[in-house]
Amino acid sequence: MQILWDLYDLFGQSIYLVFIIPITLPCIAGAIPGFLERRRRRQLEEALPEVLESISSSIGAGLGLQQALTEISRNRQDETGKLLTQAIDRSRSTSFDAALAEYAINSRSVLIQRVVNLLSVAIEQDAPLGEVTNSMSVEYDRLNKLINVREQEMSGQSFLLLMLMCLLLPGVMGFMFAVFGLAAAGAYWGHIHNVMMPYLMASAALSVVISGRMLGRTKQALWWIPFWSTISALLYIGLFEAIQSGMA
Amino acid sequence: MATNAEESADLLYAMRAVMVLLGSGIGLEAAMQMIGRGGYGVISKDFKEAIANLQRGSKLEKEFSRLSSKANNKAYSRFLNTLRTNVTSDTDLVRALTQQSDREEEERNDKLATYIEKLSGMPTILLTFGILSPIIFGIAAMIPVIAPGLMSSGIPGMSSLAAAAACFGPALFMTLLVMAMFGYKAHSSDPGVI
Repeated sequence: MQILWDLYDLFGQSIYLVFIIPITLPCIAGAIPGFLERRRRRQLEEALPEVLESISSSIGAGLGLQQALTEISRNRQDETGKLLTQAIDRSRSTSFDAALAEYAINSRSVLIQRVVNLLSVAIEQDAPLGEVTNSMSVEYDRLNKLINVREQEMSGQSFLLLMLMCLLLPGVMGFMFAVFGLAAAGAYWGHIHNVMMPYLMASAALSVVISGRMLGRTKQALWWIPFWSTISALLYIGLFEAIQSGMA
Repeated sequence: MATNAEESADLLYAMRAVMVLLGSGIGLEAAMQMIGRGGYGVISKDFKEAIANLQRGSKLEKEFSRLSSKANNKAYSRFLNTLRTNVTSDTDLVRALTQQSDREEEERNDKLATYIEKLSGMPTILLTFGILSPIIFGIAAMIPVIAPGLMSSGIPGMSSLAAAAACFGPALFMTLLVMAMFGYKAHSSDPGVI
């Protein structure tokens, strides 16, 4: 309980903290759906080459496209399986084309919408579906790898930037100011905090935007600005106060 | 008019889609219609416009020439020229597109590698600025706190030091601007690989 009171006391140290904390909580709530949605979309896209390959094999074995998709929806337990089951169920009351279109829309993935569009054209043109899906499986596997390269290569840099600017920088600053001038020895730091707190919050915000841009997800990153700014400011003032009271 | 980046963003996907359709025996016009339905950004818009013009009686090669002369991106222009050559000279389009898309993929990988290399030092640069600036400018701001006696010691220049202490805030603001300028590199050099 005392920890909560101490934390409450810490928030009251700066007007900037008092303003940003009420914004932080709804922003975290806004950031999480975006994060989950992206993960879901990527799961669907990663499964795409495998699904196309299965369609190609099933068509090669003499099944129709609808039968091939039914087979896949039965065998897969993941998000793709769920969406395909939904589409197949819907196709009983509407048409198969409409169900495919619904699957594409529900996936909310441009990549899947393109594949469904391609499949529809192939059906319209009476093209060999086995061959089309096989080529698409190879192509989308390569494209998926290309998308993943950026994610894998940049996520380390992006994480490092956040750690350095939102944790290390306020930590170093709080430690330095606390150690160099003890309140017990008569030093007054109020005016420094009034400058340092917005500086650390702004540099945390800047780092969040840059790290989001590195991964190509600036809009999603904007939701995390209040969170990292609060963490940065709290770490600075918390460490400062802890050292000051510890050395008093 | 579409920018180079807008044209480049979906080019590889459009090339691969056309390749898949042509490879399975579907005609070029049907492939163009598929692209024109949407999902490929600026390329979809261009192809939709070309299809509309074809329905008004324009020639396919003329439409490809028009789009090619309008294109800003070299790879997109090359892609359109390949399609035009196929219409006029009946070339092996699938083979030509395979080569082009492989080259485009390689170029994208190179651009991405350059981008990663450019940004590799950014976290440390920003941290250096972020730490050094408050330390350097902070020394002046800290002197009245650490050594209050020094201000009244009569040492010449102490009054200007006290004035410098007041500039701590603007100095940190300038640091933020410099950091933002460094950070802008993450946006300006983005290869647009989706």
